[in-house]
Amino acid sequence: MNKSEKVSSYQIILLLIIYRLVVAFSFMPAVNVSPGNQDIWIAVVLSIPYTILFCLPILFLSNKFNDYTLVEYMEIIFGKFLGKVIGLFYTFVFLIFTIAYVSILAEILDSTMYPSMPTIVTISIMLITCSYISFKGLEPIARGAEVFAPFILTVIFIFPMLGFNNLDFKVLLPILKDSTFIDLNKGAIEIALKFADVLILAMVTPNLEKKEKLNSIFIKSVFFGVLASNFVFIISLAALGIEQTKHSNFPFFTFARLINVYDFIQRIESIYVISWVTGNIGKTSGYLYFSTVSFAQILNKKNNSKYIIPLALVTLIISLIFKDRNSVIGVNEPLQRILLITILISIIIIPFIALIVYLLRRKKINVDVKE
Amino acid sequence: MILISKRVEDNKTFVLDSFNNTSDLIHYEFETNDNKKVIIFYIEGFIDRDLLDRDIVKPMISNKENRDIKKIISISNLSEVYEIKEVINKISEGNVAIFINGNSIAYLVDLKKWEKRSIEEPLAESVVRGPKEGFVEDISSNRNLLRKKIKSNNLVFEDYVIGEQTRTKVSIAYVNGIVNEDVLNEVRKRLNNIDTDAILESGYIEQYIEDNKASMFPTIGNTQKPDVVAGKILEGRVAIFCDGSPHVLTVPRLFIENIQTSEDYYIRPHYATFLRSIRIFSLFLTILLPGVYVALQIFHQEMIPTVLLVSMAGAREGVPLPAAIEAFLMIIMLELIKESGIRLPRAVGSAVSIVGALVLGQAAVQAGIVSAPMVIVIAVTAIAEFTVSPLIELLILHRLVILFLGAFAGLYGVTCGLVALIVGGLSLNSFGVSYGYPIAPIGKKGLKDFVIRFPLSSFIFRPKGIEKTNMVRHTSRRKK
Amino acid sequence: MKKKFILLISILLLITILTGCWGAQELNTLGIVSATGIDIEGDEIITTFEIIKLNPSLGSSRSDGSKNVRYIQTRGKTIFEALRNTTLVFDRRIYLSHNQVYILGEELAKKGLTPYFDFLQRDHECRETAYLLVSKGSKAYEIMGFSSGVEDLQGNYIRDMLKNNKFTSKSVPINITEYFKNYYDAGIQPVVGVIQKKEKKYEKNMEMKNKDKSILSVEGAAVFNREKLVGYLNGEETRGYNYVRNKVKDGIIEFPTPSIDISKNTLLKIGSNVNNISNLDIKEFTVVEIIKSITKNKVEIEDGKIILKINVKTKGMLGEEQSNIDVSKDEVIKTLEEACSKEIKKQIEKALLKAQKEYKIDIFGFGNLFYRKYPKDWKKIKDNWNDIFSEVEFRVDVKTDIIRTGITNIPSDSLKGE
Repeated sequence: MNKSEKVSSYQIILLLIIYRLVVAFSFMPAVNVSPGNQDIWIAVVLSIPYTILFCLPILFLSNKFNDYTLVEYMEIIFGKFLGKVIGLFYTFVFLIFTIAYVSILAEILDSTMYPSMPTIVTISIMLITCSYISFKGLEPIARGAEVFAPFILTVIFIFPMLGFNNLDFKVLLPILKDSTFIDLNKGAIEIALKFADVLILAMVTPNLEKKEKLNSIFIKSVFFGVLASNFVFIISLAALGIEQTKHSNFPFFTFARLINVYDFIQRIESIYVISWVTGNIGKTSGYLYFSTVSFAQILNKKNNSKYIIPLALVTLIISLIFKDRNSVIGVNEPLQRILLITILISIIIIPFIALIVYLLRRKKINVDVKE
Repeated sequence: MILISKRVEDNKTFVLDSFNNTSDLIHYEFETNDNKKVIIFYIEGFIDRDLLDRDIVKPMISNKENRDIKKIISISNLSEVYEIKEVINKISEGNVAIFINGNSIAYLVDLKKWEKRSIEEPLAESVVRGPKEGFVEDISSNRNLLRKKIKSNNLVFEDYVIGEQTRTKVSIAYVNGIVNEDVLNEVRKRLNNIDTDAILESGYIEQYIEDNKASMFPTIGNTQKPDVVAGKILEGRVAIFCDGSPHVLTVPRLFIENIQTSEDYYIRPHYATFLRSIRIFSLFLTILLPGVYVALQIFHQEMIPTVLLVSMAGAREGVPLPAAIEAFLMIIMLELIKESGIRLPRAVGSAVSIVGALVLGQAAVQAGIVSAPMVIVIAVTAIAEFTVSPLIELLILHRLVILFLGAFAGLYGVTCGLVALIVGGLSLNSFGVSYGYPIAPIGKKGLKDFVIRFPLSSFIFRPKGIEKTNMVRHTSRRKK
Repeated sequence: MKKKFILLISILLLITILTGCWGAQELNTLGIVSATGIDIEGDEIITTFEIIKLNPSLGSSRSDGSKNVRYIQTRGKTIFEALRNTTLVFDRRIYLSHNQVYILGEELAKKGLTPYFDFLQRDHECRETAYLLVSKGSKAYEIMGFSSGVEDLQGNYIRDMLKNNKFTSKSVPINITEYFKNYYDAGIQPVVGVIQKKEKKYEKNMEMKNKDKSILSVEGAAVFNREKLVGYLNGEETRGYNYVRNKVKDGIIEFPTPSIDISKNTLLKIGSNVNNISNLDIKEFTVVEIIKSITKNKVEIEDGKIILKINVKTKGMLGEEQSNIDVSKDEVIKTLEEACSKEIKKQIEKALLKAQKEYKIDIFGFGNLFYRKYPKDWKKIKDNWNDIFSEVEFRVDVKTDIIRTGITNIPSDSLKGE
């Protein structure tokens, strides 16, 4: 990764919004959290402060070390050996996410559209595309986000307009009468723990054009990301009713199939598929790219392109092994459990410990950094 | 560094040997009035004989006093050289070389006059509204055409001679004070680094100096019209003229320029916006349509409206080929027709169009070899590709790739291919300027010229991607 | 480095080619289904499919009146099994994505739809926009097999009839999504469309080629208690149901022309018939065409009793007037409006009473309204709502505005000079 590549804050915000949105408008994991009734959208909104809270240690450290990526400053804080171990752990974290998203993608495609395509083909096509994109570097990923994000957002906003007749917002009433405050907060915490996009932000910090805007970038991306995914969420609830949304694996897709305007604009879910595959490609290539970057940084090398193919192959093999034995969407364990544990450790526990270590060793570290 | 000898015989032998006694090198020996031997060399057909006889030979022959040759010859571009190698080079460029016995200076007079094509409208770049002049092969005429458009004293030409054997004259043109200095220096550097035998056309130069030789996106623009070049230089670009080629290169070239034509600026904004939208639409259409059509037919029949599906299925009954192979065959046939249409002699032209239309259209459908919707799809694709003709090579090859992906992996494959293509294009840099400007990275000033062409009065700033110093176009708004 | 990349790509490409084209279905291997009938006989499911037969359209010749549909019937323990069993008897694979309508046999509906409907939701090929109909008084496969409209395909024929429901409001076009929305909801019960065979009465010389003696009718609605069919609504009751559910768009209301003016108590009729008032046994009707209709429902608790309030505002235009009253007078219009409102109210009350007294289930969604307004009380009565609903009082309030009278205004019976 070349630290001279610059990405603007607008590009990063769009990138992170897309990352959050893609999960929402494919299989909507949020729909089954507590309280499980028509107030789920309030729980989603409530997750914003929790997300910010959970990411505070990482943000603080990234602000302090804003010329270094996450892996690099972990090394600085913890010393060489332990730092490298933690760097290796973060490489695994990114890899786990890549594997998870690729498996989810393969399952979605196989259930909705390609029942008889061998999994290896679905996953290899995605991985080849993502390897190619990671090869090109960080700037094309960011520029790609700039090009595709407006398209995806337009699709999200036009579909409800076309399908307006199918929407019935009264299913969201009565508000707040059925759920307790504790339920809502439990749901908010569950949702906040599903997203690991702050790791991407931490790795991208040295490449930002205006590093001092890191916090505002994070807050804006969380806010708009939650807003967009909540919009998708509410539309699905209004179109299908509460129970049916919980039962469907892909609520927004089902809504897209319902759209029928004047008998002419119908069956337009192909546009939905295009925008959703595009979002997934962006997400997977981002995580793959940063896993190679962190791997390269553990080995103290500047050029990360050599590691793309090996890591992609690893992803391919593990996803195949995993996916061919389990279903990852309809069935909640074990993937969700693995992801939850990963997020807990990588976003909350380790940065927290790092923060404490940093505060204790502050003088020594400052000397190191200045050299 | 071989100097010119004082003896005319030595010089004559040297020149004749250097030119390997070629038959079109004319030499004429005569004596001036004061009995000095003079020999002149020139290439037959390269010079203006009238001027030579009247203004050089005659004054020298009838020279009464021993005056300085400069006061005898009444040609205004007489130059003196000391080195014989330069004389050799200059003779090939249309100069007359004059050796005087006893003088170790040779005189060169530029009397270039040779056949050149007259200025006419270029066939490949026609416009409805706009000037119809096009560049010709002679570099001086081309430079004049440009100078006529930009009469400012800041228009600068710099000359290079490139190519060992062809010794082609190459000029770069820019407007001092507007041009992007980094781009200019890069151009100079790369031109100096070209080391080859022959430069026959500006296309050679393009391939030697371009950024990403492997990518199919063209990063150097070329055009045959002076007003286009003028417009581009005024935005901070550099133009490269190549002697012998009517195509002038402009550097840097962004992706957005494939959708812009000069005519967009001469007509009013509403219609210009409409035409731009059509071009962008046909860009997507021509790459995606065959692939998407095949993908929907094979994998995603649920995404086609029922009535359309019934007629498509009806058309496919009895057709022996699978849909993907059918599409592929039709595209290859299309390319065959196009290529033969370019190469064939004029007289046979109508025969090809009849054969093409009948064979591909009527007979094939009626014989049941291809289905009628497929013919329509490929025909629409072909029509669409001509609206964006600068990108033809890119479109055709990628169309095949996306067709392949669509046939194997449906809409998912098509999307992956499209995203990879777009990101590959976005990663390019044309001489340091990012290729995807103004879309990515977003530039508000460049966006005024993207799909919606804003009225000319709002083009206050030059697009930031290219021009970095002198950003303001209108003098009235320039802050001093 | 680059070489390795290329090697990898070529290996992967070879894999793709060697394993063959997966999942790809050429169009001419599919049997596109346009209507499906599902019946139950004992423990077995009988599925009947109507498949479009495509003639190769060489030279763009259309079919010359010969049937271009095929019918297949198979059995199985579940719908999915019956579906797959078709490949044993038919040469194309059944493709359900373009199925327009599912016709459910009456027996199946009475037994309960839930065990069989899981397939329709779970399979990705089944479109959620397909309409559901119950075949009244017959098995589903007895209804399939013919279409008496312009369309040759029965599926398209039924679908187009259902889409035109707005012109009479006497039918309910329900698709799978709406059925499930109401099924999962606690405060409302689903209602599904109805299809039945009717005798066609025609002159023997007309339509000589057409041997069908029956036509299909989609009038009415089928009432479900969750997944079990409990009964039917007839045409007028269905219109009342549509009114309460605010689904009336373009229908008509026909009512007997009032003979007395509301304000002045004078006769409305003019002209030469004015002395024959005793001819009141000749029923003459007025038809009002609805332009727009909005229904607002409310649930209120007054003195411990639950009251349902239904408020209808209709804008209509005069469509047909059989007697010769002078519609250019304002009082006449007001009388007509009054009569129209009375008729609408009658139909709504008919529907409400039928649901309350005969079937004792709430198909209108008042339970939902109650839940949204009084959520705490709803928790107490939720399990008995259907019984409570059958006892509640309702107040219907209808207001009609006739805003246009067509392109004539004077009565048709007036002679010159009157």
